[in-house]
Amino acid sequence: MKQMVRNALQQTSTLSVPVEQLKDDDDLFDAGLVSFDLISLIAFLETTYGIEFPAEAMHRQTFMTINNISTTLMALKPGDVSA
Amino acid sequence: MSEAPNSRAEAFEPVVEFHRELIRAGLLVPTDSVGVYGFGAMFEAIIEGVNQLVGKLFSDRKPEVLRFPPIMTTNSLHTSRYLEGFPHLAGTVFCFCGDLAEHRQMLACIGENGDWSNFQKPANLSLTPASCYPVYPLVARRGQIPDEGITIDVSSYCFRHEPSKDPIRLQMFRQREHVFCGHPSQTIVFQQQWMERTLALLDRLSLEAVADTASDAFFGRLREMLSSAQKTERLKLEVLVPISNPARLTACGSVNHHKTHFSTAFGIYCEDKTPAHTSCAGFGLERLALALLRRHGFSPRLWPMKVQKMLKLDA
Repeated sequence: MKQMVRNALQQTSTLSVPVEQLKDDDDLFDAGLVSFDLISLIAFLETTYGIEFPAEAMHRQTFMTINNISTTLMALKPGDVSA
Repeated sequence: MSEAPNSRAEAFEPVVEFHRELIRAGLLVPTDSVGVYGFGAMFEAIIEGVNQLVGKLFSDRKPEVLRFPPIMTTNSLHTSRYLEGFPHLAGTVFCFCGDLAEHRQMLACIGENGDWSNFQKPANLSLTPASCYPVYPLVARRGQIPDEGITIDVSSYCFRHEPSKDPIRLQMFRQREHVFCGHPSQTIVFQQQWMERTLALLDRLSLEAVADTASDAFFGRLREMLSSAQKTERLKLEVLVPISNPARLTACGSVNHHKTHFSTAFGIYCEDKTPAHTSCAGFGLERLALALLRRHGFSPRLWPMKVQKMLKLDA
């Protein structure tokens, strides 16, 4: 899952640190993740994995680290649709 | 334009009355599209007056003056990432590119009240959403930013798809902006200068303006999160005045700190190879004109002589 998140970051974001050098618990915002990257990252993950992040997941903490994103993704079953 | 207003803000009586008076006075000329107006001679005279005044805000910097038509390549719009944040506001240009046979089919489709847009193809052109947008790819193509930074004076009609009967929210409107590209500390100075000078200018026009942090109208579920982050970082400061609703303040201008958003997107670098910080600051000219009409009344010939002179309406 973490590798999937890394791939998604690679494809959607312009970080100041190469994705392969990031640790799983590094702060992605400190690494240069900006709001427009986040929009693209979420759209990519949702399209690729057939999930939808629920409204309650839409906060900075969810996307702060590779670990956090992976944990949220694992909790979402494919096809899950928020109200 | 005679239909009933369709939102709570638009239905608010002072807003309806303001809209009605602007049309009655011949200042705004309604069209058959909501939020798209023609403008009468007096309104244009006010626009010209405020345009001259805000254009002088940075005359000491001797900004480079650039004018673009209200259209830019869709590629540039993609690169600027506008479609990530504001897909609901963007407008793109489609054109007929077919042959005679397809032309006949399109006309038949129109005759049957069908969806003839299927015969149109994207022309790689989009309507400019803010007058500064054509500047960033141009500056990137020119090469490194000199150590002292650059200030550019831009203006154009802009398009945002947000039809409304409230006259503060036009679909096509004019912006006059100054754009700065340079080092972070220089960008902060630019923003502070713009705000100080703007508040002083509005005071001289007898407009009671206040400055406040603000956020853009982001699309979708992330709107709240992005708006909150933008406010926390104070990336957008607006200058607010009463306009259509006299009991509520509305932005007539703003200063925006993009940090390295555009320099990362287009490749804008300082001489020391660091990504430039960029900032744009400017006014919606129609909003500023409307603010003056709200403050001083619908007959500019009766405005305080000081204001008339500043706007060159006294001739």
